[in-house]
Amino acid sequence: MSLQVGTAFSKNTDPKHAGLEVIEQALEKAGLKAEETSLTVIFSSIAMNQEKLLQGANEALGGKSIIGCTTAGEITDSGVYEESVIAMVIKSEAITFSTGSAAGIKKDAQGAGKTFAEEIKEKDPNIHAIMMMPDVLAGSGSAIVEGVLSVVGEHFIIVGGAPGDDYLFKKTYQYAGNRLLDGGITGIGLSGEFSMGVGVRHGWIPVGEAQEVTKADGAKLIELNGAPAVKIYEDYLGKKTEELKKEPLARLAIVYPLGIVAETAQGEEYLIRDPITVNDDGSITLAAEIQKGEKVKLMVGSAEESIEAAKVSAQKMMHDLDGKKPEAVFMFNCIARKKLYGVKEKHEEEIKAVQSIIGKDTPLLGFYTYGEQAPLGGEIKNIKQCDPKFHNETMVLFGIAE
Amino acid sequence: MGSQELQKLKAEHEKTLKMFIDRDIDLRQTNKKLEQEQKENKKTIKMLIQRDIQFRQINERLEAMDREKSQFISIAAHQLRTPLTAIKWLTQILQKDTQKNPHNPQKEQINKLNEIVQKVVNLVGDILNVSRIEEGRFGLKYSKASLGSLLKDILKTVEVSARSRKITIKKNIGPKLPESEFDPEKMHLALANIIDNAIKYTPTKGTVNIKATKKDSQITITISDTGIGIPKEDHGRLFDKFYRGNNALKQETEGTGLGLFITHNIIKAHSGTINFDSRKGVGTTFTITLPITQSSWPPRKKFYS
Repeated sequence: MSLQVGTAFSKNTDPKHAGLEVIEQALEKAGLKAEETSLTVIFSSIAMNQEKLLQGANEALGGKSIIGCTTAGEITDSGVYEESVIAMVIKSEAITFSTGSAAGIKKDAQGAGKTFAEEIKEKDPNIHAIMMMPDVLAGSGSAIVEGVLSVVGEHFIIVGGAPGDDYLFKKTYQYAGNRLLDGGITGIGLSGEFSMGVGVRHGWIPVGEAQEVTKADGAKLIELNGAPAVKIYEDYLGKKTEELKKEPLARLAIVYPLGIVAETAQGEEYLIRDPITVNDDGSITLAAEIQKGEKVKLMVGSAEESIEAAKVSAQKMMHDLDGKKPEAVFMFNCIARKKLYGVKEKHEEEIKAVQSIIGKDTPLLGFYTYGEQAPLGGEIKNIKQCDPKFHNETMVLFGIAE
Repeated sequence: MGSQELQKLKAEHEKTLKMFIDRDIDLRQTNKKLEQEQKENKKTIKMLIQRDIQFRQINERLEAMDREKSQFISIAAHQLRTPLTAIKWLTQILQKDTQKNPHNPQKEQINKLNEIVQKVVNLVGDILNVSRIEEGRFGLKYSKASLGSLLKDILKTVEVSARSRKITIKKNIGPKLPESEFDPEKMHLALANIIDNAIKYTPTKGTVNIKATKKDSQITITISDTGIGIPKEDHGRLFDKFYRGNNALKQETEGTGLGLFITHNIIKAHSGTINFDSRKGVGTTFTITLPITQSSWPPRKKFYS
C-alpha cells in the first residue's frame, strides 16, 4: 500500500486560472481524479488574489478538503518560487486526515488554538499528530499551541509553520475548504497506521556564556542578569540602544538571534527566539514567549552551517521513518534562513541538500514561514518526552509514509 | 603503631598533601590562563561580529545604490524614447521625400541620417530591455506558435543586408517542426540578435547556416557562420553586459555589447539553453535548445466560459 501524491506549481497571472491549473497539474502528476483525493494542501503568495485563487482551486477539487495558507516564498520538489501557488494532492488508504480551523487569534490566541483542536478531535478522537498553520501576526504562537495542548494533552506531536506575506508583516491568509481566513488557524489531524518522521534543526551556534532571564512578560524579554535586555546586543554588536531601536533589530537579529538553552536527550539544544523590536525601557520584544529563569545565549548563524543543519534535519526525519521511503514531505522553512542566504542560488542549495537526503523525486511541499512548530529536538518516538515548541529560524520537516 | 611507622605515615601524608597543593596551584594557574584566553576570545568575537555587521550594512547600501542606478537608467531610457520616436518619424518623412525626388543632392545624407537614427532607437531599446531584465520586470507572455516561422521572418528582414555583402544564407527548417510555447516578441529579439551577429561578423562571400529540428521534447536551433570567430579568451565573458570580443572591436563593427546579454537572458527565462562553439578566423556556431511546453499547463477547456 502506498500514498498517491502529486505536487505542482503555477505562476499564471490570472489567480482563478492559477488555482485551477495547479490542482489539475497536481492531480495529473498523482494520477488521481479530484473526487479520489484525501487531502489537498495549497501554499501561495499574497501577490495573488486569494479569493479568486481559492475559488479556482475549490472548483477543480469539487469541494474536497483543502488546507493551506500564504507564504514568504513557496517550495516544492521542483524548485523554490515566489509570487506563485503550489499544491500537493494526496490519496491515502491508511491515513485519515481531519481538517480544522479557527478564527479570532487576535482576541484570544489560546482560545483559537483550543477551538481548532476541538474541531479536529470531534471529527477524529484517534488523532496522534497535528499539522497546523497559525497566523502569528495576530497573536502569540506559544499561546496558540497551549490552546491546542489543552485539548490533546501535554505531550502531543504538533508540526507546522506560521503563514507569511512576502516579508511585509501586514496580513496573512489561511485556507480551510472554501473558507478564507486571516488572523486564524488551519490544519489537519492525522490518525491511522502509518509512519512519520520529524526533523528540526537550525544550525545557529552559541556565543559566549549563558545569561539568565531575570525579568520577562510573555514575549517581552525585560532583563538579563539584572540588566536591561538590550545590553547583550549593545555588548556584542557595539551599538547603543538608540541605534538598535532605529536600525530595526529584526534585521540584525536574523544572523544574531537569541537562543534559549534547553536540555534534551540529545544534549544541550537552543530554541531560537528572534528579537523583533527594542523598546524604550531597553526591553526586547521577541517573536515568541520567554520565561523568567530560562538561560539565553547569543547565537551566530552562517549559510554553511544552516545548509548543513537542513541536511541534518532531513537525516533525522529519515531516521524516524525506520528505513521507509518518505512518500510526502512537508517543509516549514523560516524566512530568516532565506534572508541569511541572500541569493537565490543559496536557497536552492539548501533545498537541494534536503533532497539529496530525502530523494530528488520525493513529493515535497513547503514554504518560508514566520515561525515553525515542532517538538523540541524532533522527539516523536518517546511521546512522554515530546515537547511541542514554537521555533524561529529553523528548518522543520514532516515526512509521512504508509 | 610504632613511632617509626607513624613517622612514615606522616611523611607520606605530607608528600600527598604537597602533591595536592602543587596540583591546586597548577589548576589555579591554568584556570587563570583560560579565563584570560576566554576574555581575549570574547574580545575577538565581538570584533568579528561588529565587522560582520558593518559589511552587511555596506552590502545593503550597495544593493540599494544598484537598484537606484537601474531605476535611473530605466527612467532616462524611457524619456529618450519619445523624442527619438519623433526624430525617427521625421527622418522617415524626409527619406520618403527624397525617394520621390531621386535627384535630391541630400539623398545620401538623409539615408545615412535614417540609418543612424535607427541605430540609436535600437540602442535605447536595448538599454530599456536590459534595465527591465535587471529589475525583474521582463515578464514573458507565452503563446503557442512556430519557431520555424519566426526564424523565417527574421531571415526575411536580413535578406537585403546579407545579399549586399554576398553572404549566402542556408536554411534547414523541417516542415514537420511542431509548434511550441514561447513569448513571440522576446524570442524574435533573442534570435534576431544571434542571426544579426552571424551576418555582421561574416566577411563577404561567407555563409550563414540556420537549422531547426525537434529532439525529445525540445527544439534545437543552430546558427552557424564562417565569420571572424570568437577568440578563446573571450568565451567566458561573451554573455556579459557590454562585453565585446577583441576582434569584434578591431573590426570596428558597431555593437553595444548588450545583444547577447539580452538573448542569453531570454533563452534562460524560457528554461532553454544556449551554447556556442567558435574558433578565431574559422567561424561560430550557436546552439539553442528550447522546451516545447512551458510550465503553464494548457487548462482543460471545460472550466473556461
